[in-house]
Amino acid sequence: MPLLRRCALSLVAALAVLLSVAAPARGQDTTVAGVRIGLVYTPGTRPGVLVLPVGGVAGDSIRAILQRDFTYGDRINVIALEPSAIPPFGDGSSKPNYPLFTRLGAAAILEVTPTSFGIQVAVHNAGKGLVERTKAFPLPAGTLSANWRLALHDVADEIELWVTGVRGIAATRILYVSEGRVYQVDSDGANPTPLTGAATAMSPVWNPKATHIAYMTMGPAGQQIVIRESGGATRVLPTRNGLNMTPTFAPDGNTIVYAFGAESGTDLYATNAFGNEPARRITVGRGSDNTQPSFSPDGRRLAFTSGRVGHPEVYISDADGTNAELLTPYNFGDQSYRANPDWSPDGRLIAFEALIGGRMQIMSIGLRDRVIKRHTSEGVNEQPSWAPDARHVVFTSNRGGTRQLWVLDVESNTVRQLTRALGARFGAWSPRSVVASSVGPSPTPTPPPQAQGTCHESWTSRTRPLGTRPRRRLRLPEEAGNDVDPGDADA
Amino acid sequence: MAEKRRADSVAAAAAAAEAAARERALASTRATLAAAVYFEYDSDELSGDARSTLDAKLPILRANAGLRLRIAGNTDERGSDEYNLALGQRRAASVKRYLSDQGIDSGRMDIISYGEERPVVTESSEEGWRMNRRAEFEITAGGDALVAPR
Repeated sequence: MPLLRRCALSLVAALAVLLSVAAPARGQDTTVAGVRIGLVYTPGTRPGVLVLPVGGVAGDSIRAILQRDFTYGDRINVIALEPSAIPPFGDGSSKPNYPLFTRLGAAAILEVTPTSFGIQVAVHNAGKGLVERTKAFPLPAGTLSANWRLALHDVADEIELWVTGVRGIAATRILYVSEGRVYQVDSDGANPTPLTGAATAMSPVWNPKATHIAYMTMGPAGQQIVIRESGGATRVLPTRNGLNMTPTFAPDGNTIVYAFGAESGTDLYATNAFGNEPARRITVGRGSDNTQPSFSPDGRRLAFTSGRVGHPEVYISDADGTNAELLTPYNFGDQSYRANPDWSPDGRLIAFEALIGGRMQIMSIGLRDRVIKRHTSEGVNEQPSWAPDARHVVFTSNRGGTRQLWVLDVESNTVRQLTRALGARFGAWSPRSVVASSVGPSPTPTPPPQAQGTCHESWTSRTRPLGTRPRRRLRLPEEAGNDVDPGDADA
Repeated sequence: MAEKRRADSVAAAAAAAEAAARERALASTRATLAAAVYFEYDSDELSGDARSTLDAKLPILRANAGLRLRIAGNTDERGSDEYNLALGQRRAASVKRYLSDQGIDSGRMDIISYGEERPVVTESSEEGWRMNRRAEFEITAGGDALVAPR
């Protein structure tokens, strides 16, 4: 069977089963990290990966970080055995006992060996009984330093790409605000680091290359927008006096869109983030509040919050503000409140927050079918921001007693706590390129999954029941093309 | 001599009483000027009570031409933190518009929004929320020369 056709059939079967199981999974929620509600992810639905004990002084840390990254990625089932419980793998003189590892649930066995400049990784395909991939990864000096960890997260992401066809999101960072300061934290919750001094910051965002961030601070005559380089240099965007807030960068990296309000409502404006030309107004709110812009990945569309019908709802429009339409339907007379849209990086969904029973909850809506899904139920949950894999969302929740950032897997509705700060809010997930800006050029640039010509069905056929979940790499080219064109879906 | 002392004493007492009365009037003037106005949930409309509160400020603003005010819009904690900044801005603008419509030079009034960032009551209750949905008034100039309206 031709490869493409085989992949397509897998996709159809996967979609069919996904549709049958996705609905009951709505509303699932747990506050206990690592505990899953098993409707979607029963054991064995993801490829099992066993990480062999790693030698060297940092071996235990390397193994723990890789295993945790895979677990947080929600696409790999880590076979978490104590080193003493792992059978001997062989010393290279004889073939490893692959069937034994298959019986332990391992589709892949990860063999990591420290080298003088980093680590050597070999991924064994247990089903086929052979080494599938090997690669040497450099790691920077300073074991367990922030840059070293980020480089190791990048290794985890690449291994996840090999095994599942989707690159991981471990080598990313998340901005947030605590006590008025902008912080960044690694995707696994390590290294919370303040980026700004004591102030009144809100609403931080990354630019597409993660070389700059923008945020709002309270100034003497209202609110200002500040743009900060990764090196620390800052610039106040030349705006008019008044309420300047909720900045967002367009995918072109130069245009910044923000909300400006004075005495006749708040509207969206666009300008060059690095220039001095006057901003041009995008929305025509006629005295209403139009805020919280979020671009579609192709930069052609914009989602935003508007109170033009009397209460906040999510709208989408062309990037120049024309063709605005209500995205979130409401029933006339309802006390409806929907806000804070964030367009998913694959263009398919918009996450937002909605008032349900007096509490904000994280929701998503499909751009094609306009089906709304609810993802949280415990406490107040708001301010969603997509991870670059378009599957995880960081959000603010008070479910633990104080406002903290949590990470949601929208496909299973499982959550994990990300921050343990003195209150945290306004989470903003970085693009993947945070690696390049933080530790120099990425040592291993990887082509996008769909650019590769192989179908990894054999990797998972032993451990994943047929069609439990479509993997993004199996998309057909014409379907992938639609991902970044939600405007067509709206027509 | 005794009569003069008595007269001085009476005059001093009268002056003190007058000063005290002036101080009370000034304190009352300041309190009237600072009195917050309150709003319904997700609304910038001025209620009858809010208009009465603002009307009481008009003679003070007319009697003190050098007085400048900053009107700060605030919201309760419910809803989006960011959208609440816009709502607070709208509330402050609504107050400014009303005072301006009553003849107060709009150049004497600045507006700012603090959204839900500066609650006066941190308790999550209907009463706490009601107290936080407000516009506050701060004197930014002319406060030292403030006189009570006649």
